[in-house]
Amino acid sequence: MNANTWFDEHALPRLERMVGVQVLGEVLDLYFENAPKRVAAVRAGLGSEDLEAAALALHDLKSSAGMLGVSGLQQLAEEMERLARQNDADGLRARVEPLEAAVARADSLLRDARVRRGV
Amino acid sequence: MARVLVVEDSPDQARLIAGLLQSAGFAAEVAASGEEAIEAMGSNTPDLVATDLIMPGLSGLEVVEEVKRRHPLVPVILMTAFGSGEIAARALQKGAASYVPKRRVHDELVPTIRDTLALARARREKARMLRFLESSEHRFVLENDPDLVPPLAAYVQEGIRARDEHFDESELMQVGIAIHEAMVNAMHHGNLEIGSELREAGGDVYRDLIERRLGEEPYRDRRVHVTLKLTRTKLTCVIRDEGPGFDPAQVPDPTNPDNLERVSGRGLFLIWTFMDRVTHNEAGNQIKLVKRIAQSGGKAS
Repeated sequence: MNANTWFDEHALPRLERMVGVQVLGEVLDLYFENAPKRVAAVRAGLGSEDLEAAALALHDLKSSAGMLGVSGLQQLAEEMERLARQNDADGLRARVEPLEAAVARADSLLRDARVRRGV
Repeated sequence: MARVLVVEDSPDQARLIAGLLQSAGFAAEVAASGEEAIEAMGSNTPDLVATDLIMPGLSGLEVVEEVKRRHPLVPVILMTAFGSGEIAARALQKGAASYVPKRRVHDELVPTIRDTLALARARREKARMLRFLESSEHRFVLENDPDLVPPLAAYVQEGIRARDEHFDESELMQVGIAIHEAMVNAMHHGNLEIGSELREAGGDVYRDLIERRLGEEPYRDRRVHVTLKLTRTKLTCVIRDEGPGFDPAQVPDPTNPDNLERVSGRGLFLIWTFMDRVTHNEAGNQIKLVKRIAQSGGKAS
């Protein structure tokens, strides 16, 4: 997946046209606040063998990433949600670090795009 | 301004969806869980609910069920993420009005809500208008075709439901069963003159005789006449066949539960149990069924 498909640069401008600068800013703030909590919930779910909780956190992360145009993160979260629902703890554990890296990359791309848009 | 309750546990998604709705001119409120949504609706009913499907606690599917039970006129739209198709299909079967994939929410949610609200408004207005309808009467003249019976029963049920959105679902089902039994009696025992003792004996003889008489004079030309009258307070259904009739006094006591075990007495037992009043004419070829609506367990509004 190349950088253009990993993150759709047009997603934020499109959302901005629909909801305005202020709401989009609030949405991004809430995303930045909640994405690390979702990753932590995946780790906690693995630790306590509560893969249903991990699946719910991944489900949220998947939808939020998709909404903001971060397809790369969306697809990884989607794959991990499926593993969690299949009770595949090993498969899930192997992808936690890539997930953290993907969340960090999404964070950086969204913050850059935000600065460029003046959101 | 139409009010939409958004049920979404993810704060960023909830804010975006509420923002989309506010930009489109709706008043949007957010509930962070299904439980919160149901509680909020108790004091302030929205015009429409847009709910996430997969949430901790009460799921979107359960939200649909609860809203349909408590607020049957409030439509529910599902917002579904990829991979939740099966549960979304179940929610639609449970009464959700429509669904929007989450990845299309920015393009499709507002038009879907507008369309759904327009339909819901028309339905509410129709329901309001029907409350002023004093009575309606419909007459059918049916061939001896049992396939016509379920749609007739459904027609009656729809008529009652149109008068009273809150009419008890199980009572509605019972009305349908009573009409079904009375119609089959009129066709098989009345018009085709097939004795119930033959049915009691079981086997193919009963079915074969039905098949034969459906093509024979005089049975095949006989019709079942149905008159349905629905007023504010009761349903009256008169079913008359063109057979020679029977002596109602010879029928096993239809109020005796022992007859539930008998094939021949079962139909009448159900009819007597499910309807409020049952009478036959002197000739024994007509049955009149009455069901009270306003005083029923369904509590007509």
